[in-house]
Amino acid sequence: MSVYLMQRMLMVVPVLLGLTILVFSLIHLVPGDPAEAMLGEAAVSREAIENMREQLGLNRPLHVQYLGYLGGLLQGDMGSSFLARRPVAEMISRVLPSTLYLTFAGLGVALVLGALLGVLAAVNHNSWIDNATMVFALLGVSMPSFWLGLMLIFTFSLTLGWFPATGAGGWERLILPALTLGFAGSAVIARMVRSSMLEVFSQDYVRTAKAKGLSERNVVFKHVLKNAMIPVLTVVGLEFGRLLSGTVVIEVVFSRPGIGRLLVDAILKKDFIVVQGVVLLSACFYLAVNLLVDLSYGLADPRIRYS
Amino acid sequence: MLRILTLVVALGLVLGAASAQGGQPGGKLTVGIQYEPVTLDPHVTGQANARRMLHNIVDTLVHADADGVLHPWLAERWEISEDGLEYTFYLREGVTFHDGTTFNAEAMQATWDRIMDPATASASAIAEMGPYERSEILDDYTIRAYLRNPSALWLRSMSSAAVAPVSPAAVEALGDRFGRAPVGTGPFKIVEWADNQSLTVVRHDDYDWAPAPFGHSGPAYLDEIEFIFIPEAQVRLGTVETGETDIIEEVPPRFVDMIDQNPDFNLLSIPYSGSPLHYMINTQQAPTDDVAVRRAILHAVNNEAIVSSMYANVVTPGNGPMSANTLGSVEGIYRDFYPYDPEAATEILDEAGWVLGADGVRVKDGARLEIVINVLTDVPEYGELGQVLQAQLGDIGMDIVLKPLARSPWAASNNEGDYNMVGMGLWRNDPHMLSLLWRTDGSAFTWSHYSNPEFDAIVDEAVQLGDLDERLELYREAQEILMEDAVSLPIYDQMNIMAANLSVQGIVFDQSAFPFYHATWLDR
Repeated sequence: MSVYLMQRMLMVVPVLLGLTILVFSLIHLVPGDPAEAMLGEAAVSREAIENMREQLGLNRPLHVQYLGYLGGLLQGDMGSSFLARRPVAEMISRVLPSTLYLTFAGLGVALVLGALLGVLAAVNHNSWIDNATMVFALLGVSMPSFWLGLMLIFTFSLTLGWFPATGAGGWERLILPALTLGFAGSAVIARMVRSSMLEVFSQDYVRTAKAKGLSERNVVFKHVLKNAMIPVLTVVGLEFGRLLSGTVVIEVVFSRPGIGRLLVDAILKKDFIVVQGVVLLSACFYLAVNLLVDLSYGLADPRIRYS
Repeated sequence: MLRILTLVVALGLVLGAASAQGGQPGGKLTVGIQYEPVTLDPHVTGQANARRMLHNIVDTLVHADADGVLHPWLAERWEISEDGLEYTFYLREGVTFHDGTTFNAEAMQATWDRIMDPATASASAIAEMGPYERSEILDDYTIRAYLRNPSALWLRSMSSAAVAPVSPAAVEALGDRFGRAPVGTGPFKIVEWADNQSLTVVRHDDYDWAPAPFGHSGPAYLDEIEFIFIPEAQVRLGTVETGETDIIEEVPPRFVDMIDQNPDFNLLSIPYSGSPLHYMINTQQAPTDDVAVRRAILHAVNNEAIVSSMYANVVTPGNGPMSANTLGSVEGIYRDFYPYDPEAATEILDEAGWVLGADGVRVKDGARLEIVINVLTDVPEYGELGQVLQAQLGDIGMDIVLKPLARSPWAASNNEGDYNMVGMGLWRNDPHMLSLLWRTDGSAFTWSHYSNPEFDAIVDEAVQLGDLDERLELYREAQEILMEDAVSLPIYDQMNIMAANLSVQGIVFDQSAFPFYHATWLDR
């Protein structure tokens, strides 16, 4: 196990390196001169633009710039926002907790709702419940989250007055954004749980379990659901990335602090150093979660050995 | 009529403040604003949304009221030398910054020096400083500023939050963090700035130096103001209905209908000074290098119809190169020169040799009458306006091509000049804005790519004149030249539209239509 873990960790290194190259290139991929773009309205004089280029190190050869960037990252330095004059690491750390709460709450909603619907559909295969559940899932994946978010705000905040429409802090401000975020995910997971369970239902050991006279509940939860979890886990790993990127829209709609909103603001303001930081961090999270998912296969199915 | 109505609303609020001896102290005001500023360092920021909040945190030497009249504030009085090059300010005594530092000539000099220091990398403060050269401290409370050349704008510029004095001690102590918690002399001081969420300010209890238009000079009535950043316009509108906010700023004109019909809210529309939202017409790029084409455009566009269909008549049709509210604007100049008259437009085009082709688009010497409009995609409004123009100008045989661009390539293209028209609006308090938009190399926004030595000479002379009437006479001529040359298509005069619940009383607006909450109180 630990050897496998080491191997997997080592494999992450080239991925991370590739990632830093991509993120580093961001600033050079924007149309026009990055220094001029970042200065925006303030780009009134050649001198100001030249100062900016100097400050960003844009006058140095590309590989020197990259190595400097990488060296900074190794020391935890993601650079400083030119506009806000704050270290990017600090800007991110101030709002990251809020995004993580939202992402995990959204994942919770997706998992609970998804598993519930999936099991319901699988157990009642080919019945109206199955059909209704799958229609619901179809709605879930196809509904744009900003629209759903606005609808939830109109219904539960503006009309019923149950929850505040904006801000963060406290569960009452987390429920609507988490529902919005988790809804699409729950649809994907429900479909996965359903099809995976239907596959397992046709296995011999399920027939055996039923023949032994085990209760339906025991068969479904102890035998079928557990064995159906492997493909579901993979989807959950992928969903996490989607949830994390989904926070971009939801944080703007619900006026929540978070790295998604930070990213949108930074893009609009051409604050490329902040964009680099957020993209890099999100990608790292994605890598970490997928690593965790890979490792968790062993927990779900002891037959999987790591070597 | 609507214009009058909105002004009455504004005036009513100011009057409310003036008679607000009965203003109830206490309470917390929650303000929904659109964007979180990047920094609140007044000397660094170029953002209007930063100034909306800053005007309650910092004070300025002079205050420009809603009518443009200058009032003493941190400067009790001032003298301007004959040649217009020396400004002597007699500063108010007994003023303290939020950190206890005394405001005096030294603090004022430190502020000006800081703005001029290239290391500060000031965006708009340095522009406000204009021809400022240096300052001299005459005594503790007297300071003299020296200008390189006379400027009719300079004193008015000192009413901008961008050049407000800040505590030199705090600048020293906070370094780069100063932008997170600027320390001024204003009626409110910052207690917390929660990233992406809100800015909370509390009353500065020693405050006793408000300018006359605020109606009372002591500490602010409110205990606390929380500015909440709510980017989504519909959600922002919603929060004022549920009471999550007491007042919201930046209501898009398109959404005004929703609030307008609700008796539980006050709609405040304060006209901005500056240009209307207008289309700058490129005078260098064919076919709009032909003045006949530009004149035809101005005749053929029905901006009254646009204002009523797209903006529910909440804004007024564009006045001319300057909005009607702007100091020195010639009222109704656009329609005096170019009444809405599609027939006149077709006649002008016919005379200029643009003949209707088989596909309904005019042609001259083999060139089609194709007009490219740069459309900024960040602002949905420009897309919708573009389609309306497409229809209206299509009727007189023009082929309007909308070129959607994100902000950065949009600005690059505007500077490059490879288009015929581009929509924009510029907020400025002084007719000098004409210079910024149309003088040869006037600023970064000369997107008509217009160059007329006669016009240049007039605006260059005007900016140096001390006598206001003489200045305005020159700007009248300048506006007439611009209309004659048809360099701009005015769509509507811009407004700062806010919605408040009925308990909010006594907001004072300045010439820039920025709200001041010093005299604001809650009638609950």
